[in-house]
Amino acid sequence: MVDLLKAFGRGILYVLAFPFFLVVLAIFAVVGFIAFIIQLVKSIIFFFTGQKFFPELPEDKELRLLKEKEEAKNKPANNEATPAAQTQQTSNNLIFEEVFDEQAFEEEPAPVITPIPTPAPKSVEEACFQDLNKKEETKEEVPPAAPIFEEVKEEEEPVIEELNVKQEEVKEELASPLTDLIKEEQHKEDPLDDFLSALEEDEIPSPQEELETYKPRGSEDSFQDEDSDDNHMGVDINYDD
Amino acid sequence: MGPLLMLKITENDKRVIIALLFIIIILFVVIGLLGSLIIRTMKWQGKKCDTLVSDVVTNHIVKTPHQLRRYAAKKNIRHFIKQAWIPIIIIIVGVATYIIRNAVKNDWTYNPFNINDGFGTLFFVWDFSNIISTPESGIGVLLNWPTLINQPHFEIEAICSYVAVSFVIVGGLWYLVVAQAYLARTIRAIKLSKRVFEKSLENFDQNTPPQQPQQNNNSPVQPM
Repeated sequence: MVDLLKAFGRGILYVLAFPFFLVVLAIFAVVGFIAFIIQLVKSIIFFFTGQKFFPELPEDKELRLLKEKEEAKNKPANNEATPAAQTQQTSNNLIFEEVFDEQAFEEEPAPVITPIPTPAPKSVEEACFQDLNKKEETKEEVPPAAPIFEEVKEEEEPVIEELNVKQEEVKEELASPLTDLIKEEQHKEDPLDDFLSALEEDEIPSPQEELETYKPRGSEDSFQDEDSDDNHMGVDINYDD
Repeated sequence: MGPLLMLKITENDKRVIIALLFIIIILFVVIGLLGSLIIRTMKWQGKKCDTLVSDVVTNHIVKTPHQLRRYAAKKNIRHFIKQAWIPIIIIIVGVATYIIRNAVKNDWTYNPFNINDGFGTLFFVWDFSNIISTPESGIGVLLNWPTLINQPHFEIEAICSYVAVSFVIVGGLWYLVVAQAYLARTIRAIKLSKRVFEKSLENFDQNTPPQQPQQNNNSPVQPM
């Protein structure tokens, strides 16, 4: 009942104030329409001068400069922190979406690191031996974080393989002129070639000729020169007991 | 005794008066509820002003109420223009349709609300002109119910008036809502300029010394 009476009283006030409200609203509508027309004319000028539809306000400019300064301050700190964070956070469930060398592959996008929040260790033991405990748990049960590791491996493996292949290609490209030079030099000093050339010129007897001229020790020819001092080697079958 | 008190009110008259009072009360209650709804809507629309000026205020670029009001006025009018261009285009299309129709038919006396080839063909229309007769005594007498002179029907010739009137009504209402939001943001900016830079001494007592920050006794590092 009280609410009904309040609404009734408000109704009387609103009926009295409604004409004033309408006047103010009409003034704002007219002012807004005039501002719209002025802005339309301005926008035509801005279009031909190559400016923005709404030029930047001085306060907005000041704010932008302030934000740029803050970003410039934070940037070096972030750059120093990122390599350490990458090495440390690998054991803390970090997902490396892409790992690459920027100088080698400038076309590829920057690496995005999305950390998964992990609860803070409650004690020193937990902080030190958390990974060992986790490994023991993984042997028995599948922990809830296991899919994340699997997903990371599935995503990382092809990237690392691709990188390895690219690295090998780059290495081959860089090393190919050196290897050619080395091969040429080796080819020049190759003793096999010298041997083959000498063989072609009959300086060295062929194996068949050597076999034909070969005479083993103890043969008929050797017994003929039995008394000579040169044939003291060989098998003496006439030994004394 | 005055002449009013000498009037004798019958039971029927009393019932009629009570019914009229009841209707008036209900009418004012409904108006009050509608007004509350409009005020709530304006408060909701005014919150956009906070979004527009919050960055500049929180970074202490704006330092006085006057600067805040001036900056908020600029941002508000820009936001109004961004919101208002669609209803203005709708209104322009409606008005252009009306002008083109008149130019083609060369009929500049055309009433788009008429009941023959205008927007009035879509509504019921009654003739109230002959229901009351005024004899020599000057007192009106209700003679008959009003006669129905038009039933809703579609006219091909009135299609330009359908487009023109409907576009102008829709665009006009939309524009009024946008203008109301502009008004709400302006009121909110004035309130914010007073509140944000307000300094209160409500709980300040100069005789009491300033409180030192309390040390945590449970901290692991104890002073030597």
